[in-house]
Amino acid sequence: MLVVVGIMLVGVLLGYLMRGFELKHLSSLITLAIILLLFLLGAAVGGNATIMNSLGTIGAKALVMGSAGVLGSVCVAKAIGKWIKPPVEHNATQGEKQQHEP
Amino acid sequence: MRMSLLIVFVFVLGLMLSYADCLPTFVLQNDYSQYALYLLMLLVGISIGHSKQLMGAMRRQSLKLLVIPMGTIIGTLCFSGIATVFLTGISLTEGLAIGSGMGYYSLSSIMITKVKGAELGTIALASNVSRELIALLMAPLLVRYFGRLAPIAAGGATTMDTTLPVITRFSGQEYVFIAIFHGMVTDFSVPFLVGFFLSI
Repeated sequence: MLVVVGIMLVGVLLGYLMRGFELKHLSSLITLAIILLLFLLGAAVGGNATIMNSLGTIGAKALVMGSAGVLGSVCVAKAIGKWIKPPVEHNATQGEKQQHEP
Repeated sequence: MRMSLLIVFVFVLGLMLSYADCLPTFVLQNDYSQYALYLLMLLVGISIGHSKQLMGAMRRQSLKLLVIPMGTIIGTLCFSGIATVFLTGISLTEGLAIGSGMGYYSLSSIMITKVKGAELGTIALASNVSRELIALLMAPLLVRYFGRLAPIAAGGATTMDTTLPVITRFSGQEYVFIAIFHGMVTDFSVPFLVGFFLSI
C-alpha cells in the first residue's frame, strides 16, 4: 500500500517537473494500463482453482453481498453529490462534457 | 460505454485464457498485476502533478469531505444488512462483517476466516473482490446514473490505489484528492468495523 502511494508521489513530482511539456498521450496510456491490469486480474482469477470452483453458490452469495455494498454506497453518494463538489470550479462544466463519454 | 465493455471483455478474456491454460506459466507465477498497478499509479501521479488547477485546490474543505467516506460506510452497512435477509446461511452480523471489508478483501477475509471459518471467509473474499471489480468495470455506468462521486463510493477502501486510475478516468481528475482521502479513511475503518461485527 505504501509502495503504491510512494510511486504515485514520484509521478506527481515527475508531472510537476514536466509542466513545460504538453503530455498528449497520457490519457491513452492510462487507458492502456487499465486494460493491462484487468487482463492480469482476469488471469489471476481464472488460474485460481478455488475461486473458479466456488463460482457457483458461494460466488452467487458473494456477488449479492458485493453488489449490495456498492448499491448502498452509491445511493448515499448520489444524495451527497448534490452538496459536495470538487474544489476545481472554473473547469467543471467543460470537464463534464469531455469525460462523460470517454 | 464502449470503454466499459472493453474492460469487461479484457477481464473475461484473461480469465478464460488462464482457465483454459492458454497462458504461459510465468504470467501467473509472477504477480505482474502488481507491476501493472505500479505503472498506472505512476501515470496517474504524472497527470496530477502536470495539472495546474489541481494542486492546492483541496485546502478549503477537507472536514466537509469526511462526509463522503462516512456516507460510503453507512450506505454499505445498511444494504449489506438488508441483503442478508435474502441469503440463507449468513446472519446479520456476519453480513455486516463481510460488508465492512469495503473492498479490502485481503484483510477482511483473513479476519473472517479466523473467526467464522473458511466458507464465510471465502464468501467475504469473493464479495470484496466483486466489489472492487464492480467499481472497476462499471465506473462509467455508475457516473451516469449516480453521479461522479459514485465510483469513489463503490470503490470503498480501494480508492487510494486499485480503483484510483478508473476514478481519475471517469469521475475526472478533480476527484483524485477526494478519492485518496476517501480511500484512506475507509481503509482505516476496515479492521475496526470487521472486528466489531465479528465480536457481537
